[in-house]
Amino acid sequence: MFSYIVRRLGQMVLVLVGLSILLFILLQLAPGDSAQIMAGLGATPEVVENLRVKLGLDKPLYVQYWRLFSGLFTGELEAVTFSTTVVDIVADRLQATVELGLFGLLLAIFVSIPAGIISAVKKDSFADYAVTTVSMIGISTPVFWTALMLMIIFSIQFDLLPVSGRGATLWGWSFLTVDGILHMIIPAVALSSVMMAMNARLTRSSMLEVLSEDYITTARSKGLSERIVIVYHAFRNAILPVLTNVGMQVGTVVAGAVLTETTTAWPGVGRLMIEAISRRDMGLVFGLSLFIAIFYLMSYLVVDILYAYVDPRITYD
Amino acid sequence: MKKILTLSIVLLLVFAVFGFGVEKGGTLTIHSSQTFKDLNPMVCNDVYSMYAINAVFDELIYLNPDTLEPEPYLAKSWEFSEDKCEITFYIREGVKAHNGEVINAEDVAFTFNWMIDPENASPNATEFAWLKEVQVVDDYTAKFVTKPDRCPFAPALQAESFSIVPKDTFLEMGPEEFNRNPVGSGPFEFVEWKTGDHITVEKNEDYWLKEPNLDEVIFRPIPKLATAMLELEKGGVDITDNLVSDDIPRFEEMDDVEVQQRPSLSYFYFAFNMSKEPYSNRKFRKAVYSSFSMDEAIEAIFKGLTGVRAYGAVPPALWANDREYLSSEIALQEDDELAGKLFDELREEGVISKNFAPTIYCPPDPRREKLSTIVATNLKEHGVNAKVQPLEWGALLDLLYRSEENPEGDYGMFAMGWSGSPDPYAFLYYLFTSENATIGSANNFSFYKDPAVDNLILWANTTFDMDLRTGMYVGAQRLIMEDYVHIPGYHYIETRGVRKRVHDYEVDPMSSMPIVDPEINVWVEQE
Repeated sequence: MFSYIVRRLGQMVLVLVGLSILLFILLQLAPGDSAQIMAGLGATPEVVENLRVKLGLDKPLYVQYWRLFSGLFTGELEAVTFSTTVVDIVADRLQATVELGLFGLLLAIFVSIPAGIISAVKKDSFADYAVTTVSMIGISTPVFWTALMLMIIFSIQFDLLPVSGRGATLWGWSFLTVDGILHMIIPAVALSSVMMAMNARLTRSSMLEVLSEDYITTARSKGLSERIVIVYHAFRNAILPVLTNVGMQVGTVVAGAVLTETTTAWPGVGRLMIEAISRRDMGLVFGLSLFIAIFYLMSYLVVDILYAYVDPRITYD
Repeated sequence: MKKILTLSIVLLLVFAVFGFGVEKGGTLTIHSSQTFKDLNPMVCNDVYSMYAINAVFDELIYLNPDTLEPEPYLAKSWEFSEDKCEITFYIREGVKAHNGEVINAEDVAFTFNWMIDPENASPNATEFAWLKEVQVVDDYTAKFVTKPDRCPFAPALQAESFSIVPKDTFLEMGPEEFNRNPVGSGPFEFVEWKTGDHITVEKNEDYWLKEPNLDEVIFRPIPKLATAMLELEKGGVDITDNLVSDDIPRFEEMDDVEVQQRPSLSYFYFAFNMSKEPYSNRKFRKAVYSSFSMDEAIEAIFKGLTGVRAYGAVPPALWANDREYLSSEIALQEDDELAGKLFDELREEGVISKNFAPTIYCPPDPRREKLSTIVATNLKEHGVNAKVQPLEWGALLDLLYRSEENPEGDYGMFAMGWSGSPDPYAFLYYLFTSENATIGSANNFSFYKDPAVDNLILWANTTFDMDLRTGMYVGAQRLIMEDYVHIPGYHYIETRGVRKRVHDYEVDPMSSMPIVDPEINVWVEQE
């Protein structure tokens, strides 16, 4: 396993280098001049040129690339928009995203997986219809609409929760304060709604497939209780596709629950990415994209490692 | 009866003089439609960050929002030299920054000289293209020297409504650190900036102008306007910097929210590329103008709530707007018969083909997109198969700025907008002079070049005689509008949602968010 992890980490470095080159090319191809956009409408050619020099955009492309790539690892890459380094601004906003993503994901897992199991076990029952209908609605409903509806119902009509924002924090974490927790409920539920729906449907279909296998019939014929059959025999085999999906969702929530963060004014990296793109902050877009890529790659690695623990038939050595 | 009346008048006078009823303390929460990016006034060029900057810093002069005329602020007075090429400012004594640094002429000179120094690449240098340098005469006297080729420059004074940075503190902290933890001499001290979430400032107990009524002000960026509307309704914010037009009637009926409006210094327009056929053909432009009703378009976009029809580029809130003449003598109304006849003639003359299908470009802004769509739909009725192409800002500016390889540009019609300082120069110079038809960095996106218009606008900047200036701007604008270079669209009305617990607040026509200044001192009723 150890050599597998080392090999995968080595591959990750290659992927990141390739990705950084691709990203740089895309940034060059994107329409719009960073210096011009930062200088604003009405800027004189001299002002734009001065800004271009300051941003290093007058240098040859390979110099510009190296400045971005090396700057990210030395921590000196500048997020010009915020007059700070990319590392600092990402660190500033990451806590909010991680916190929201984690709560949203946990909520999705703890609600959707039991719901999917019940739906499969009680196929064609009222519970099954209820889960499939609700999950269909969850998948079909845009996150921003869900968030706005939650705000109207729980903040405006019943005055139970704050409308938006992050509220009070302790050491940068919202979940350590009551005000912070109250602020997190609407964004976390909105964010989890789509994940919840997908996971419930995936769990249901995966469970249905496993429940029709011969080894389940054998387990039942041995006289094992239904609970043991479902939890230890069926669910353990059905969890692999769900695990893959959850792994992808980890990457997605860090990549930025852009719509959730924008609608609920949550100060995370999703919104930061939109701000960076709209202001053509090359350094910030570059750094943030690579950072998100690292998170994606790491979450896939963790999922692959978990496969081996969940299913002993899978080995990597 | 007489006694009661007298007593009432006396009480009213006492209230007025001593401000009884004004509550001290409390927190005011202000919404911003976009995230803040800079708190260093010397590099900041977005109106949203200026909300907080205005609270933390003092400006050299104060632009009165009612008269739009400069009044004393940090500068207690000023005078022009005989040739009008120098302005000497006399700085108020005894003003201190929040860390105790004394604000004097050194700081004034430093602030402006830093911005115009190419080394610092400040986007604000554009505002001071006319400024050669600021000299320190003595501790409390600073002299602004205009560049010889731009001298005299009549609109100079308007530009000096600018926040002053304490030099020593700035140099000690460096630009990055200062931007994150700004120190000014304004009514509020900076406390913290959680990017994307909020900026908090607290009362400056020793403020020289007047004691701020509020203890604390929080600025909250909420990018989704629908969310901001809910926050306003619930009381999560006290003032929103915008309102959804459809929501205005609903808020007007509420007991605890009021809608405040004021005409802004903005101008939105539909325009043509004057370097390309058929757009350079006046008959074509007139045909497009008369093919649709701008009045109906403005009504459809704003429902009579947050925008008024424009007839020229100078907003109605400014002098030299010539609105009456332009609306009655030059603006066109919808005339399908005329439009049909003109398009037929253009086809017969070979100016446009039977299959002519132009594209109308606009930024990703629902209002300008709607205006473009209305124009395109009406053009279709005259056999011109126009389509609308909204472009993201970067792509749109790339297109409109043109390039050396494609100096005529690949566009014909477009919808854009402009806002400026309170002087007609800020609109007419940038949008219509040849100096601004520069490949790679244009503001005159039509690339309209008329020597008579250039002369009028540039001459108007060199005289301080208001009648002369007005005459020249009016003349230039009439020439431009008679040429149908632009089809003037609308002027936006600054619209704020304000909770009724907020008092002494006024909407600023320059899109600012004043809290304490010579005219106002906002206070809130506390529960």
